[in-house]
Amino acid sequence: MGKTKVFIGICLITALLATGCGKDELEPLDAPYELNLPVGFPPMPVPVGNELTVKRVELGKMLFFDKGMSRDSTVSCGSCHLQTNAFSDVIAISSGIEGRKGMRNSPPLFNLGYHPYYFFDGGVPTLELQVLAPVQDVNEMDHDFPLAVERLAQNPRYQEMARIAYNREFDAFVLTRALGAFERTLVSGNSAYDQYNNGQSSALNESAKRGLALFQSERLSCSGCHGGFNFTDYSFKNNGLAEVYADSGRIRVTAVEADRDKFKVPSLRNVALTAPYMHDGSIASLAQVVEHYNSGGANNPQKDERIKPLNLTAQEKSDLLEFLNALSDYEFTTNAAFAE
Amino acid sequence: MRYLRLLVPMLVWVIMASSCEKDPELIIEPDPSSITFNIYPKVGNQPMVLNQEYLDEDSYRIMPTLFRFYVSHLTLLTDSGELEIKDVALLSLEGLASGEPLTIEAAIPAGNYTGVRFWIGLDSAQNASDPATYAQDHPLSAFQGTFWTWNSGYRFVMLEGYYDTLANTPGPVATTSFFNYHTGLNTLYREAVLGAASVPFSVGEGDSYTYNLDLDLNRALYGSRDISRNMGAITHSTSNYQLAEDFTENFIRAFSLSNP
Repeated sequence: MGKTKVFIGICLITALLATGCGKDELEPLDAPYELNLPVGFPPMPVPVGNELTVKRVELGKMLFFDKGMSRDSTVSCGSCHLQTNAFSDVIAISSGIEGRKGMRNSPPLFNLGYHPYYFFDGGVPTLELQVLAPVQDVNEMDHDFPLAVERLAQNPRYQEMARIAYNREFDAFVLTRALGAFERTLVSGNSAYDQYNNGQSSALNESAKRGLALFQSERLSCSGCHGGFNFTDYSFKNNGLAEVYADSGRIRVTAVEADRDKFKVPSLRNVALTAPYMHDGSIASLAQVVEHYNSGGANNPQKDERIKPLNLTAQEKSDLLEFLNALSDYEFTTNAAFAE
Repeated sequence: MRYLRLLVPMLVWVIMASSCEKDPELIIEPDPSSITFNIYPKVGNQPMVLNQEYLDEDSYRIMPTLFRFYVSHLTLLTDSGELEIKDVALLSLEGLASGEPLTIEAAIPAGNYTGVRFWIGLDSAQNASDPATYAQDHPLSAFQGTFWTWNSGYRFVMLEGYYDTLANTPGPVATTSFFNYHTGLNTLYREAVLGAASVPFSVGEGDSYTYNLDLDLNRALYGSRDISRNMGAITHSTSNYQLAEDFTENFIRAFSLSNP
């Protein structure tokens, strides 16, 4: 009788186990990544299939700093996107492999998950698709994309993490998703301005407060384009940088004449850390940027109507600069979680 | 007790059988009939291959070095409607021997068909695809080299090569005169204009039907819109859009029924 009970028990256990068939795939050994958004920031959109997890972000960070992304293994994403500069570069035009120069200033990387499109001309709609561009750009990494994926896939650590994070071999999907995941975690929103905005009135000095008032005034109209929590409306504008532009801007991706010489409005968060300025890095300092807007800019037919002489006093310029400096988030630029 | 020893395994079997996925439904064998579209690339009457010089319609030397294009929504027409047999195919002359066709194969039901239609390029949904989500050998994969990375979307037709800027010059072709036609953008998605190239045909049970078309480079360059050398040699569609549009209008009319 005892043997019979054991036999029946084994049979029932087998049957119960069998009812679980169809779920024999291993769940990824991963955990959700807690994205701690600053007060006042809206939820960040995250694409289905690339929800943030610890391993995805970790893998993306490793890839971000991997020079193996470039053809001759000399340049990584981090080569032109330096954390101390809010993940921008300190020179007008960054160097790709073999010192090659492209045509545009390296943009800072933060709060990217909120952007509706990427690059100065807005030609790329997602962070994941964005990955394809620098890898293959002849002036950046100049790599054949299949070869880049093949080489990175030789890394056993990447293979292991790809299986955990995405439940698949390392491939183009993993490469683009992981980098997108890491870049979404680059959130910046703890500047002196933010602290002031969240109730710490002493976080801004009197000059910065006057600068904030000027910034938000109808007279200057700065916040007309640089408004919202991220200090940009993501629109495309011509700010009268020159009478003739060497780079035709958004028309390159739309072929619409109205888009000629227009560029995506950048966020002003961390702006004091991201010199030089403009799409071509042609303005060296923030003080010169203020002078540019104060002058009303060059006579370009596409210039936004709000770009006109401001007649700022020396004190007003100083106040504006003080406010712009207060947009720097040093917690972000020193966060070890983002460091190589 | 002996009955119990028999009953329990039977019970287990019943539970297992009922708990797993459904039994596969009765599989109906697919109709084995098939069709092969052969598209013969030519320059006039000569078979076209890459990296070989030709004299084009106006006696200019021309040497194509790259030629790829998408065919999408390949559809058979019937008296009662339409039957799409291939959503997308990427055709490339790379590795193609002289006289060898570009091919698209598909299984089809036996029957009578009144013609064919297809589009050059990708529809807006296909064009908005993320190439990293496809397997490497898929026509829309990032590995195909057709995706525009700086302006997300695919190149519908890629034709590159060299041509002389003067007619009737002795060879070889001047490799300093480079042409590069890359068409894309949703506004340049066009149905191929087949005209007499779309002919009725019948396919019997188990038969393999072959539909032969010619694709003439001369017609792509000297079609209803003469684009040869007059409008610049390079377009990436957003740059020199007019050239891209004119080339597209010619290209969709460059197919004819083949007379091998």
